[in-house]
Amino acid sequence: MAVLGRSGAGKSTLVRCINRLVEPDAGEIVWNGRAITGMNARELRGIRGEIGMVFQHFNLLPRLTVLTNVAAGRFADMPRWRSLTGAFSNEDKARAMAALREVGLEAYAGRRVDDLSGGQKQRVAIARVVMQQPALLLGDEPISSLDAVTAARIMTFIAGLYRERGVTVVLNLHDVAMARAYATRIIGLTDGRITFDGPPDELGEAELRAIYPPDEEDGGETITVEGKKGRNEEDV
Amino acid sequence: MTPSSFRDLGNTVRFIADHWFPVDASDWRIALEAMRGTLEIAVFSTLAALVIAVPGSFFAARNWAPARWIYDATRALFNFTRSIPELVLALVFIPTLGLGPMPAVMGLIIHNVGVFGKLLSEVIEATDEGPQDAVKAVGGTRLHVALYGIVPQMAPLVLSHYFYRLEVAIRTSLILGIVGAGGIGQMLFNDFKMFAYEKVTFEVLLIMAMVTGVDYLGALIRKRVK
Repeated sequence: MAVLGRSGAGKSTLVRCINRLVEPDAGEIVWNGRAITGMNARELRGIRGEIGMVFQHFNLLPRLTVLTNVAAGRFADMPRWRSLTGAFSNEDKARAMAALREVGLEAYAGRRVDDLSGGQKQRVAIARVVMQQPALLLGDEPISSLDAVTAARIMTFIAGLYRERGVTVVLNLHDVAMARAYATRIIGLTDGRITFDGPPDELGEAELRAIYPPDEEDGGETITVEGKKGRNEEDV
Repeated sequence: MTPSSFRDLGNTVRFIADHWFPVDASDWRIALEAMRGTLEIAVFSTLAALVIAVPGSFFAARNWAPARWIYDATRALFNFTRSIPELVLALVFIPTLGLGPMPAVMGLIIHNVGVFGKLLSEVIEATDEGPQDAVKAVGGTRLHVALYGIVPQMAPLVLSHYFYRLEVAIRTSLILGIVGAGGIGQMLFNDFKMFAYEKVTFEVLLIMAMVTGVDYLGALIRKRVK
């Protein structure tokens, strides 16, 4: 599922509310019959262990090795002393290596993440998700800071998690073409409200215009018209 | 004080030129030993202060503190310990610990806990939230967030603050020599009182070398921890 919308429409807030990185002001978030809102700290950590997340800026743990970053995916399941000291069990190390092999980075296990390129960093973040084996994967603009080729590669991998392992995927995207190509369901957000909900082939010109409305308060008419044109060209 | 106050600047120049030279290095063995004492006081007390302040500073950082009152209380404690000069603290501890380096060590530790606490809590507040979000998102505890999301970002700044405070502590322990802490500060003070200015020159040069050496060592270590 892809979430589309203009900057400030609430895409990020929506995705971050699901694992409560952002506390919702009102309403309820229910996952598999369990209300995530209203969980205490311990329950929340448990459910977060079942929900993977990838970010626009990768959010790897700086100055630490690739292997440690991947192993972090199982913090919620490890004995506390192991995760806090970094003395991971051989089983966890083997799983982390297997996850790295899936994203083609096993040769980098001992490297510091700071030395990697943007695409490699996002692959490490994906390996962290593979390690975590979540039932749900959230993505906050996971491909927005990557070049087109790398972005497609990451999207293909994420689509694979959905198709082959049945991971439910909810991604914020700002690239309409990517959403069309990979998503099975698209949600359009405008000023915090859902303005579209359906499969990609139902997303036409009119629906896009509803999701990406032109600025009303912006002074000159010319600017508004141009803005609208620009957006449409970009989107279609 | 007016610009004309410096009309007699020549007096200071003449004082140094006439009395401070030639350098008298005859006490070099004692001076080196005293310098080691000064370094020991400064290094030990700043390290002890750092060990106390690193965990403490998390409670004084708004983005990590478990509750607002804990943040306020820790910050108030740091402000309090920081506001008392080392010299006053050392004097207060002399009746308990007697003359010698221990009152100076206590003074330096207490004051520097407040200094490190403030500096490091502000370093923590300025850290990038991204890695912290990632640790939270995999179900990590507050302690995981600190160890994996914050500490790696802090490391280089902790080192640079540490070495600066070590440099300050060396200077302070020289002053504390006046209240009996020993070290090269006390030696310098005694020689000054006995008008042995040629010896003072040597001691001043030694102190310069020591501060430069510490600065150089700090740069070396910070270069390796990037």
